[in-house]
Parts: sequence; C-alpha cells; structure tokens
Amino acid sequence: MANQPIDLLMQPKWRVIDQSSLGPLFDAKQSFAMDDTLCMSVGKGVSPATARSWVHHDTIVLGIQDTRLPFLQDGISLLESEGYRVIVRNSGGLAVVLDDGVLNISLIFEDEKKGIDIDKGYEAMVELMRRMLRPYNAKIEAYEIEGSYCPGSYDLSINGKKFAGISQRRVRGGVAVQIYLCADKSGSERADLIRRFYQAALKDKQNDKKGVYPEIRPETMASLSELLQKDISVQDLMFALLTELKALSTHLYSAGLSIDEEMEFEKNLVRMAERNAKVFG
Amino acid sequence: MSIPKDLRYSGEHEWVKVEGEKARIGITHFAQSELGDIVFVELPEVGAEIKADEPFGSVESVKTVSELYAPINGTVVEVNEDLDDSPEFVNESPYEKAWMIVVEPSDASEIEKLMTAEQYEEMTQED
Repeated sequence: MANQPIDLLMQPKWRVIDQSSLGPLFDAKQSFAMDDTLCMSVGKGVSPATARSWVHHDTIVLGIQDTRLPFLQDGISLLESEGYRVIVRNSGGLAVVLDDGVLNISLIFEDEKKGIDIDKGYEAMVELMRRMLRPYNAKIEAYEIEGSYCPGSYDLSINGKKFAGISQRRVRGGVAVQIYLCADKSGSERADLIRRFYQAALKDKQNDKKGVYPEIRPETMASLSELLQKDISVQDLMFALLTELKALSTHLYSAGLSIDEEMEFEKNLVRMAERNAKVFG
Repeated sequence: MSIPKDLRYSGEHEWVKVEGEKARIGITHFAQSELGDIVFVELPEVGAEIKADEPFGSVESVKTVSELYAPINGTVVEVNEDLDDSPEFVNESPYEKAWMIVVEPSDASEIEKLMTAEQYEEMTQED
C-alpha cells in the first residue's frame, strides 16, 4: 500500500460501479457480497482499485456483534414494525441506518502482501470525503463521536455532530473501506430509531451487556443538509465523488462484473444469505 | 516476536498444532498484532466441515473484520467457546488460550505441506 492516504487515492485507473439508483428492490446483502467479490478481484490484480457507490431503501444493517443482543428478536420486530428491512453485514461495527438519503461508498484496494495497514485505508477515505466536501467550506473532523450509532475512531463530524461512519473488511488480498454518508433527512431521527432498537434488544440488561453497545444520544447525529444548511442530495454527493476520482486518476471508467466475478458474487451472496439465515432463523 | 517451532503455519496467518489424530487451529501473534484489539470472534459450530483456503469464521477488531481461512480440510470437533466472552485472549495468548477450533483432518498429510516456523518467519519479514 502507499505511504500517504493521497497516494492510495491517486490510482492510475479507478473502476467505478454505481449502484446508487437501483431502487428499493436492491437488497443490502447484495452490496456486501459485491464488495467481497471486488476485494477478491482487486486482491488478485484482475481489477484495478474500485469505487462502488450504493444506496438502499429503509434498511437497518446490523454488525456481527449485534447478533449477540439478548433480545435481538424484539429489536428486529421494532425495526420491522417501522417498515425497515434488517440484515447483518460482514464488516466491522454495529447497527446503522441506510435509506434513500444515505450514500454509501466502498473503496476497494489491494492489501499489502504480508499485512495490513489498516489506518491507511481509513485515512484515504477521510481524505476523499474532505475533497468531496471542500466546496462547502466546512471543517470535517475524524474522531469518535460518543452517543452516535456505530461509533468509531473515524467518525466524520462537523461541529461535533456525526454525519458519516467508516468500516473496513479484508478479504483475500483486498481491502474494502466502506462509508455511509448521511446526505439529507434527519440524522437525529435515524439515531433515535437505533436508540429504540437497542432499548428493545437489551431491555434491563443494559448494564450487563456482553458486547459494547452504544448509549445513543440522537442529538449527536445530523445529515450534511442539516449541518451545512443546504439541500445536499445523494446525487450531489455522487457528482462530487466522480469529480474527485476523475481528478485523482488518469483513467476513470465504469465496468460491471465480469463473468468470473458474477460467479464469485453468486457464491458470496449465498454466504451472506446463510449468515443472515443463521441469525434470523 | 517468537514463533513456536512445533506448529505449522498458513499463508493466511493461521497456526496448526497436531494433537494425535486431531489438529488445533488459531491465528498467529503476527496476525493479532496487525489487527489490533479483537472485540469479536465468529466461529463455526461443532460438526461443520471446513475446506482448505475457504473461510471458516471471522475476527473483528476495533479497526476491521478479517476472514479466517481454513488451513486444511476437515470436520470441526471442538470450538473455543471462551472466545465468546473473552475475545481479548486472541491478543493476549494467540497460541494458547485463543485456540479457535479443533478439527479432524480429512487428510493429515495436508498439514505437512504448511509452512514451518522458519518459513513463516521469513514470510512475515518480507517487504
């Protein structure tokens, strides 16, 4: 991997796969199977670094640790009663909200031969976000926002309010760095939904919980539109993403899955379905 | 870092210890140190078949999730349930308390094809 985050972003070729407007039938399990597929291709060197954009409608994506919640089924029932689909992802972290106001971006890089420079991947994503949001003249900071959902060291915030979170997964020589960016709608309402999910799934076991589940304070989260007091849509962020990648690369091109990748994707989708079936029965 | 001489190693940073007809499997000190603080270990159930070079579980650290790749083919006969409550064992004691699974290998000769401690040490010192 490169020495500086910007070196990672400056790729001779960037492959782009845009799945940001596939609509409500696009299942989030497909997204995680896609990223595993792309990790393998990029890891093997048959694909250049790849950026995939994706949007899912009314979906809650749980982290692996959420599957140990003592009253998980009650939490899931609450989410479903409010019209959300629930899936478990295979990358790090805890529950997050995806809806049509949230743009997800995966950057897929080749891993180092022997190991793993985990922070570089995160820093590259932070750098890309800073570039994409530069026209808005806001100071974007990366540190853990306590009280947010799925908190982590690379939470992105403006004035202490989180609008994005980053996770990472490593598969067969490839690294997928995934971010969710809350473009519009209410960040605090999203956070309140996750607060109520944990309340239902933990009940009185809040204090003897096995994992480290966040105590969510909804006011710690906001969308970019709220924070910048401008209408910022998923499409605006898509445009910014493509503009920045074009500036960082000599060759930016769009390419769907190859035949080999399609076959790998099917296998990965089965694995995702099995993982989910294990949790949801 | 010391790499136990009596174990065999895979390119995906798993160790294998032969115990009679069975093989105990975990991840190496090198792997845990690169991943950082482990917060969750996902393992298969007893009776599951594992296939060489295919994922059999995953480890989640504060920074990332990594797949665990089976070093050999076999059937899982024991799973370290202590890692449910104490995933930090992977950081503290990767070769002892944090063994992950015990398998009955389909073909014990596969273990001989894995790296020796010296070869693994060489691999992790490359670059």
